[in-house]
Amino acid sequence: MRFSRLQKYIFSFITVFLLLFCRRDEQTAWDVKILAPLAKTSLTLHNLIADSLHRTNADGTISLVYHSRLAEATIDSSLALPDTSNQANIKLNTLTLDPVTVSNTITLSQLVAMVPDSDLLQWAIEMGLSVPIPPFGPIVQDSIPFDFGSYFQTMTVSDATVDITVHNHFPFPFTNVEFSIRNQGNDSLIFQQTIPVIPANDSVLISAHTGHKTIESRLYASTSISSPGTSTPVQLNPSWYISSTVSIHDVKIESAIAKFPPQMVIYNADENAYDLEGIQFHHIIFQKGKIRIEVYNTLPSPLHYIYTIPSATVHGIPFRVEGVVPAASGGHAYHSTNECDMTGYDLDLRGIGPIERMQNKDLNNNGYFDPDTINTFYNEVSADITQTTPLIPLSLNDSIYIRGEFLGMVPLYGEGFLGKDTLVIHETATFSNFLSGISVEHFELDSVNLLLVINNYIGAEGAVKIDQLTAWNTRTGQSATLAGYPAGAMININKPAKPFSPNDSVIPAQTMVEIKTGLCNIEKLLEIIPDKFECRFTVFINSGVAPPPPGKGTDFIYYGKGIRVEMAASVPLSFLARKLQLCDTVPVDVEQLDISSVSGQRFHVIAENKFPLTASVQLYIADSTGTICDSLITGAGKINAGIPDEMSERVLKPVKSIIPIDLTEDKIEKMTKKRHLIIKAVFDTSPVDKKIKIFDGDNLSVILSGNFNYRIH
Amino acid sequence: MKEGNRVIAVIFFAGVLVLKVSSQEQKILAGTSFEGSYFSNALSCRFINSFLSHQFLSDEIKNSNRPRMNNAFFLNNENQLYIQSATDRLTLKFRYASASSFPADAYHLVFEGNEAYAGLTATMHPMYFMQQSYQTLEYGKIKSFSTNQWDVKLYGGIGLVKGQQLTHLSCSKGLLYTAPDGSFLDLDLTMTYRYAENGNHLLAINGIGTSLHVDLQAESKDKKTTMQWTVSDAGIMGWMNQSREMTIDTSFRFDGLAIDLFADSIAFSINDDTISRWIKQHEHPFRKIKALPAVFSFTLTRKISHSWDVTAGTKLYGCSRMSFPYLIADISYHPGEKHRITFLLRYGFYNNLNTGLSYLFVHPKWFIRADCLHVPSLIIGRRSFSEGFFLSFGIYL
Repeated sequence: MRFSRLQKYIFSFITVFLLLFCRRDEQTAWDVKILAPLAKTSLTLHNLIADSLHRTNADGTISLVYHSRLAEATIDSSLALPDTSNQANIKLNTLTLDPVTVSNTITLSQLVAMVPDSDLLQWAIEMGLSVPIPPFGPIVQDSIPFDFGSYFQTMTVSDATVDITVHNHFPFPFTNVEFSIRNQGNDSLIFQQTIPVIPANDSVLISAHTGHKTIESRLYASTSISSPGTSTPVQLNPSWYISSTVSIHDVKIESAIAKFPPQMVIYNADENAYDLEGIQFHHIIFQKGKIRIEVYNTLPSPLHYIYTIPSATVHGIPFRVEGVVPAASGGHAYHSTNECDMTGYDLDLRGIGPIERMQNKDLNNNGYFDPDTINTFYNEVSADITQTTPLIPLSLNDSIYIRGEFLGMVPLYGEGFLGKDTLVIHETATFSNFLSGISVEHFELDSVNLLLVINNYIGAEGAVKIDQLTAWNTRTGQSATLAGYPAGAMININKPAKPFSPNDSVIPAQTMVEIKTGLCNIEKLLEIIPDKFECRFTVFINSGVAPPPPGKGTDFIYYGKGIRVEMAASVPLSFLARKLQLCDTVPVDVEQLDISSVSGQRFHVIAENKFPLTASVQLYIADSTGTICDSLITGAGKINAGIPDEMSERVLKPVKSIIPIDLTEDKIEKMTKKRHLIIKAVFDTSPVDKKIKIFDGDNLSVILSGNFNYRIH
Repeated sequence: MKEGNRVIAVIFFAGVLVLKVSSQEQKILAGTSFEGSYFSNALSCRFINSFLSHQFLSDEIKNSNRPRMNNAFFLNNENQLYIQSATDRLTLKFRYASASSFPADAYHLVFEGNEAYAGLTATMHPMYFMQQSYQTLEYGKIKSFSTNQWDVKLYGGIGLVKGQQLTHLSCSKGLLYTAPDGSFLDLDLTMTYRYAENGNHLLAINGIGTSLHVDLQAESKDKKTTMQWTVSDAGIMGWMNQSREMTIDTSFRFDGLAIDLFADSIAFSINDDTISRWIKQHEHPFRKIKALPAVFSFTLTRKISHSWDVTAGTKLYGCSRMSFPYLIADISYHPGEKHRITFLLRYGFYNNLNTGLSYLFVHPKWFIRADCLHVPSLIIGRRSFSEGFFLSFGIYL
């Protein structure tokens, strides 16, 4: 096949282009030798100790400061009120009935019928003849019924008033009207009276007491009447009548089967006292608690009760609870329970006196207003029955049972006299963030100032004795106990100022106790680098204080507030140390580190030390459990100490040290897998036998420098 | 075949067909040429060849260099496809030019590292580096005319230039001190760096420009003397799109990346992203019109006998930063019409004297020419600091 010239040209063109413009994928590369810093860090006191735990003094030196709670206790157990219950079987005070009235009427015809041989007279009445009425009598009418069955069935009264009203509608008077009422059942006399005269067309009222009687609902009256008649003829009118109305009222029932009207049947007032073993409260505010009222009703009528504690108020409103207990039935009493929350109630424990004075009323009828007392409150119970249908039996021997129970009463605030009490505080306080991670073989401090701050929130005088103060280093097992002042000394504590109102917070009275080098061995406690303090204090409340008159105590207490002891330490960093070891485990992420282009690496740590401490440093590769698999520093890894100036005792110029780091690819691979680095540094003060000072600004700066081949692409 | 190549082939052959159709009665010459030249007073040919061919630069290769107080190199590559008739010419050019001047410390730092500068200050200024690649589609007219003494052929062409890639770096102050123990580096640097590299391939358009090509050839009436003036790639390019410029004027001490040993964790994340982020913070868009690396040349050829010619001339590359032009002196032997052998003598470019050979074979229907501009580099290899070639092929369609 022959190609045209153009075809040959195109073929040549394509060939050339392919040759010229096809590129290789590789990149030009070469190695360079690098000497450069890679990373830097700095160690200052701020890294080791939180800023809140140290301060810079005027001369530039550093003092460690620490303020923490040491121990705390309250006397809330004394404040707690025991669960109290009081119960009463209360008989009915009174029983009354409404006045009952029954009437009876005798007409002329009925009256004439009672007269023997009165046919003519009856004819004359029918004829309406006018005749003079001759004197007659006595006419005895027997068995005039009076039925009180709709009011009562029977009742025994200690007394009752019977009113008889006689209306004479005859034109002539009646005289010597004898009136008697008897029980139909046993014919016992209830009432007997004689009315001398009842004028014509007039009425007369007679009234008398029954005395102690048993009255049945069916009564009958007997009457005997006489009359002088009329001297002149009168037209006989069959509408003439005489009526008598019997009314029984002011009934003082001892027992009855009756339809009782609504009435209060019980009223009881009482005082209840708490036994608080020497504590005299005259005022308490409850933070929680409840009162349970149980009422047992034996009456055959529903009972409405009201229970009040006038001396317990919230927002000025006295405590009051009421309820209705259904009637007993089948011989079984019915009971109801009512629970009420007493949270926030302010209880006056001075007894009935303040209530009497407030109401201006002798509530217990002893003839005077009672004086104030303590731990006592006043309460009232009343009960009433509603109108009873059908007839029910009630008696003054009937009673209701009422039980009031105070449960879980916890005061928020109490005022009075707190009594004499002794409180032992034994507590262990752990300090996890104070020089944590540090251990030391030998450590000497120049001086220590430690302040015990006793905060008294209890509103009473007192004293505190420091029985024991021991410092522990749980890592090394070392301990040291305070000897010398103020161990064993009795320290008086003041009473805090009473807040304006119980709702305000109490500001504690502070008592400072200085514990310093020279008076005791306090520096020994801190030289062991403690992480735990064990302390025992005895607190004496009102020791040597006589109880005040009842209701006049000025002590006070808030729930949850007691005695709090704090420790404030100030330790100048002037010390001598041997083998002071810092150890820290840090997660390390080296996965992003690209070392594929690095070879022949040699690394150094260049340290510039302004601390007057020599350091031996080692870096360990470890896993998350702290298991070490390799180290990075070959050799001693020693960092030389800064040299303090003789005059200022301060390191003015840092001292340089160079430590080789063995960071091979294998070790980087281990770091990638294990992902943790343990940094261990052991410090010794330099010179070894002299205490050195740490100044603000002292630091140890470290640079990781690398000398390696790097392949550039 | 890559996409860019395919597009260029389509464009060019369209032009070929146009010209062929429009010049059916005349001979059409289609040709291609490839030219590359490299000059340096410090970096050897072996080194630069290894660098460009993406090899690993071993110590042996680096040792072939001879860095001195002031170092420079110039690299030029120009490839063409053209087709021309008696009056018209269509050319597609691919140009790559790179030039640099730098002090010895800069060379050592870049290629050997700073270890040798422990306790010393390395001076990296003044330093200059330029690298451009672009493509030109040029159309020109050929005009022939005569005077009393000369037959003149004048060519003028206008090109549309597409910028592919630009890298430009100038450092007016660069001092690097390395602490003896490697604890810190002090860097004082004033530098401007520009680049346009949004996809460094043939289809990448990072700039648009225009160029002028003028070629004037005058032959005496007695055919004994020929003069030629050439100006090519005289033009401008506007760099745009993703062109970026980074200006650094800083003086700082680097003593390591700060880490906190007492933090929750220590993370080492030094990688290319770290550097890239830093770069992005200091760069901003760059849009500027810059001159193309023009080439100026003049030659004068005198026939001294039937078979011998001598040629003298000069060539100046606009981007080479060489104030002294490149001198040309050639002697040609052409025993007949078909063959021409030329002995090339070149002087310039960092005071290098180079000799070369050129061979031209002319066939009635085609020709081929091959020049080796620096024959000694073929012999001494590693010790040569300049090299060049020219290859041309043409065919009459």
